Amino acid sequence: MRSILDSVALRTALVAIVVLILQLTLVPNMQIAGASADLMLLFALAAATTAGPDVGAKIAFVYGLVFDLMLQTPFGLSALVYALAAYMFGGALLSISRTSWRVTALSVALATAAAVGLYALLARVFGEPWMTPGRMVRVMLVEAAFNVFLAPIAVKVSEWTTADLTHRPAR
Amino acid sequence: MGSRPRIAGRSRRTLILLVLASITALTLDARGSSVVDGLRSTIADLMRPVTDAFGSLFSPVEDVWNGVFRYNDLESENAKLREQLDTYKGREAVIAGSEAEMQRLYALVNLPFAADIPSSVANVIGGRPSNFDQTIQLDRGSADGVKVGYPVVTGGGLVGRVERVSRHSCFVRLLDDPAFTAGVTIGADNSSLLVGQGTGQPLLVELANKPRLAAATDSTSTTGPDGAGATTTTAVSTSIASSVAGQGATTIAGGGSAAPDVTNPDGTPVSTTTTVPEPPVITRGMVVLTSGLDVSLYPKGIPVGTVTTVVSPPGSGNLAVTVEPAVDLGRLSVVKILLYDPPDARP
Repeated sequence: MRSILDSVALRTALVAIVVLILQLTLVPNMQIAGASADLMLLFALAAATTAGPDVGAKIAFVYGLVFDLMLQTPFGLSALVYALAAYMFGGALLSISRTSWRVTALSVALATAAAVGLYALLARVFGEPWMTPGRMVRVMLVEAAFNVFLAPIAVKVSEWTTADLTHRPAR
Repeated sequence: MGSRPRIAGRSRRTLILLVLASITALTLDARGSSVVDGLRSTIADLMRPVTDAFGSLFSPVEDVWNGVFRYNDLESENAKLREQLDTYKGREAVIAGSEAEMQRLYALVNLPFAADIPSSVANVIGGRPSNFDQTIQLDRGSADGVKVGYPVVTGGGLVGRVERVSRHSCFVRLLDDPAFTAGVTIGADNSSLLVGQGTGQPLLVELANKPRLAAATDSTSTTGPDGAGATTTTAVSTSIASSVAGQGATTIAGGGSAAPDVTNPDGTPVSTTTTVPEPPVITRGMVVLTSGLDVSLYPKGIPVGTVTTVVSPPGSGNLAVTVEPAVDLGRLSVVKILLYDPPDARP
């Protein structure tokens, strides 16, 4: 008998809700230098790692859209940034022939920082106030540090979420 | 993230579709779509009990986290508080007398000591969800009479304003958000604009009456030694360096090389001296209050913070005034929503 969690879509929805709750309730309590982690972005990047740029971007879009429902920033902005970040990050990983943990950690940190910069840029385009350069750097550093630290957990969860896809024979 | 993706699909079509979907959502939101607002309000109400429950569950994490990452801060804060406590104990008697005087002063300047503004006490059920979203969620909504724009305060002062309201909860934009602005009073200046600069950053005040390189034309009436009146119009150009405390009134002396030659009938030059109002004097430690002007969203006299720095950057006639918020925005648990409609919003 097939479990209801056999569906990638349902597992993605479940992970999105759990991560959203953690982002809304746990993360605000854990700030460093006035900045906090972005678990939704972390799991978006993790999806790109385990499922590739194409599916990863779709899952990242869902995570972003779910997050947007609880934010006061323009609706769809997180979805756009996460999808673009996951697509680029997944594509970049494909082009790396060998991955050591050092390279992976660096790529996660860079992808996070790039996503923060992209978010700030697009937020400005859509009428949000500009973030001061000092704060932007702090947010980039803190988010990148959190994401590098939590990446192994996020990837394990993402492997479970996209299990059907990753176990399918490669084309 | 060391595992390699086994699916190497990379379709530009997927990305284009996702980008188009995002832009559609952004456009709908920008146009004030009721669908988006309704969806967000519904989800906020549905999530409220969940965030409330998990928020309580995770609240001890904050203490542990602060203990690890802010130990030195907490230690110095503790020492500072002990010192303050000793000071305040000694001043208790003085304060009692000052209160009576303050009541009289408030009456003199026609300020209500305690404005009769109805209010609603609310619990904070959600902190800042993202580094780009400086809002908190409260457990009061439209069912409790809360509307968009209502000020939110604690005993310390202003916290922010209600940004969005669902039936059973609302979101408050904190005053350190870059999108937050408020008309404020500092000393004699009552028409400055306060803007947030992000979490952990001091607030910034843009002075309406800031000193600047000014070119003014003063019409001055003078009398010559012979008693004959001579009315002259003197073009005066001057630089006001700063209005930091310690400076007196600025005196602008005409009759220099830039001024036209104006002489009395006996040939002696007419001396014209004009005193212009000095820009507001602002010093460190001054209290910043909401101005409550007609167009302001906030009632008059709510404490916002204290001035921490007053700087006149070199080469600029402007003043940069930074303000430390009166309320610790990182540790909010219970707040008060003032059910206040600005004068121009009242029916």
